[in-house]
Amino acid sequence: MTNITNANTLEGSPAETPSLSQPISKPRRPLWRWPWGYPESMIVVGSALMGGLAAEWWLGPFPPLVWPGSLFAALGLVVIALACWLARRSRLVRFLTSAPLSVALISAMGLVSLLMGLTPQIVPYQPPSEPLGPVARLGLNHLTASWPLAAIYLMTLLALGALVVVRFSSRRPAFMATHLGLWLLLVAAGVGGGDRAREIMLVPEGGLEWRVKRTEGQILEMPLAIRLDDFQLEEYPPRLALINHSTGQPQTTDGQLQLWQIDTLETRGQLGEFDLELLKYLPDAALIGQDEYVRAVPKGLIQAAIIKATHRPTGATYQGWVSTGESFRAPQPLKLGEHLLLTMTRPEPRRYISQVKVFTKEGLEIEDSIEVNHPLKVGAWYIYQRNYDSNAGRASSWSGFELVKDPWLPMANAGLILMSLGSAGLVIRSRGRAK
Amino acid sequence: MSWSWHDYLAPLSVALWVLGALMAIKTKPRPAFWLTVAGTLVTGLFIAGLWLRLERPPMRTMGETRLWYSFFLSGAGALVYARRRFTWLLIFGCLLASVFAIINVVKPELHSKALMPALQSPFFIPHVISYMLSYAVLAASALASAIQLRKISASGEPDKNLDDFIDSLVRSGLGLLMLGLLTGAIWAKQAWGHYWSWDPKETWAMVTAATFLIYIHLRRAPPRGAGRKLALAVPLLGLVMLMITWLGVSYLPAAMGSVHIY
Ligand code: HEM
Repeated sequence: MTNITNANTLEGSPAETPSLSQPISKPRRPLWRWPWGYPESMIVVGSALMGGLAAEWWLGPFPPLVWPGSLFAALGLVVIALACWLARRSRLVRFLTSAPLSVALISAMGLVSLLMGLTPQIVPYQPPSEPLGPVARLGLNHLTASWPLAAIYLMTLLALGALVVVRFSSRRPAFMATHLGLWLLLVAAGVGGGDRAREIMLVPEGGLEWRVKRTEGQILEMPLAIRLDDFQLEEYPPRLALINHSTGQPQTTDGQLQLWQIDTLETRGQLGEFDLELLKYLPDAALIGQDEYVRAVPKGLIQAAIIKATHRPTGATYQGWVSTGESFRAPQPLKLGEHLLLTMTRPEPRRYISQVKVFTKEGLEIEDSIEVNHPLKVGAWYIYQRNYDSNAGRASSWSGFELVKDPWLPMANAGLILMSLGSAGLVIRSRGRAK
Repeated sequence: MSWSWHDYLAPLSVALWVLGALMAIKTKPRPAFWLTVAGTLVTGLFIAGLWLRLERPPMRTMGETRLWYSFFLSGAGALVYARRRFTWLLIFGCLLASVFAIINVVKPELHSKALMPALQSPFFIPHVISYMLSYAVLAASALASAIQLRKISASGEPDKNLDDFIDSLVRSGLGLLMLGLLTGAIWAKQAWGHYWSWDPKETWAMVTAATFLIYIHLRRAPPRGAGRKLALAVPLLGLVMLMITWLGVSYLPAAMGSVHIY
């Protein structure tokens, strides 16, 4: 280091002539002298965060970019990245692609995520009706739509774009794949975020629907209509619980709810002070008369079982039907003495499938089924199975769908695939490259 | 094989792991390796039996993920020990695997065959396995960093071999963590139509990934002076974040209504 005096004056400490007897262990590099390192990176990223907070305070939440603005923004990012190649020897581009800046940016991203993980957030952002408090005015309760995040997001995009172009090398495939993939993903998710559409449509069984209702109560007509021809629900066997007759509360041991799973492989078991035995199990049952269940073909709406329960301390035995309920009938319990009821819990869904016919404005007609994990693609829209009337169970009279349109989807997918390949590369060649 | 078998098989695994660790301390590498592997295989056998019995991958409940964590920790500990003779790693793997096996015995959970429809996806298994593997590897990286920090304070010099080992642990652990994150995102898109919804578990996984990413990028340009020590503290911080992600998220106020609470 040649310029110690200068460094000290820059940092505002009194200039001291170093004496020879006093060894200088760490020569200080003056701030803002190229090449910029960790202190400069932290100041730059910190200023971006501060500037973001100020912008949020004065301008309100960060407005999402919409087509074609988003397209121009993405193209602009590409142009800037290419320009960085021309200026690759400049100090600024070297700084932009330096490891210290990446550490500062990743730290800032981690910090914002940490804040989001610790405090409740409004995601996705909805403008509130009442006047904003200071936390909201700084964007801290809706960070995903805030200027501070937008500022470091933009810096990250600039850094990654420059990095991929300037450090392009086929000899570092994992490095290239992770960073290019991340850049694509961040552009699709962030710049393209405003072009995503999500609507929720409820369709009655046997009915045709083409309108959606927003949470704000506004009704919107969609370019496609869904006819729900059939809704099917398959359930797992229910579990049994002991309920206190007078309080209606389930019995617990050490605060843990006690349940016994109905299982045709293991027909004997224990619940509380009772030995239970499964004598008969009807997964598709219907009630006939007062207290008699039969297998109902093709589809019963409830599940029923005959259970024998023996109270271990007294030896008293009870036997009878228990069943799940549906919209118009409460579940049937088995009385175990004065105080206890043996009841079936609401069974958990195994599968739910909507048999639909979809009509589009262009005259397309598609007949198919939709279930969780198996969405249906119709033109630019993906239709996802969302929910059903869970109180009614198999008797649900409607099915809920989520309709999603995202013109940036291919770019996001490309990013995800590249990042996955790069991450796999990191695992396979974890030794790293020679320095 | 139902959960009741665990009451017998878990103590057997724990006994084998403890013996394996003792052999490693006495520098008897062969018995140390084989005893540990035997413990791992017993746990693996139980996982397989449970899988068949439940007719679904046993990866849904906290207790079930603990089984996998025990399996991977002891298995990875033994494999690395066979190649590199890191006694501390074997002991650490066996110890932690035993702790999680014992938790499963002391704190049994309700078991159920039910697998909600969203979980019935080809991404379910790679998602959980890459997370559990990465947790095991990243926990080891944190321990290795702690050991390196002690070596530096004792002798002033880092152990070069250990340095390389930490780097490769963090790289493979982070790669697996990213794979868990990415398969989760692709799967969420399939199931619900959104890659990422800032669910608390997702947010904390992001914080964890960011912490280990800092380590990798910090190593590209080691800061001067205390820089190496600072970098070595990062995996330790990462382990804290990881434990919050895995075990602690359910208790956070921000986690109300998370899809990942189980
Ligand atoms: C916030 C976004 C990121 C930025 C700004 C960034 C930036 C950088 C920079 C500047 C380098 C040094 C390149 C060089 O010296 O040639 C680098 C290296 C690297 N980055 Fe990133 N990176 C980011 C995210 C990621 C992610 C998400 C991963 C992994 C999944 C990753 C993995 C790596 C790896 C493996 C290296 C090479 C390290 C080595 O060879 O020792 N980075 N990154």
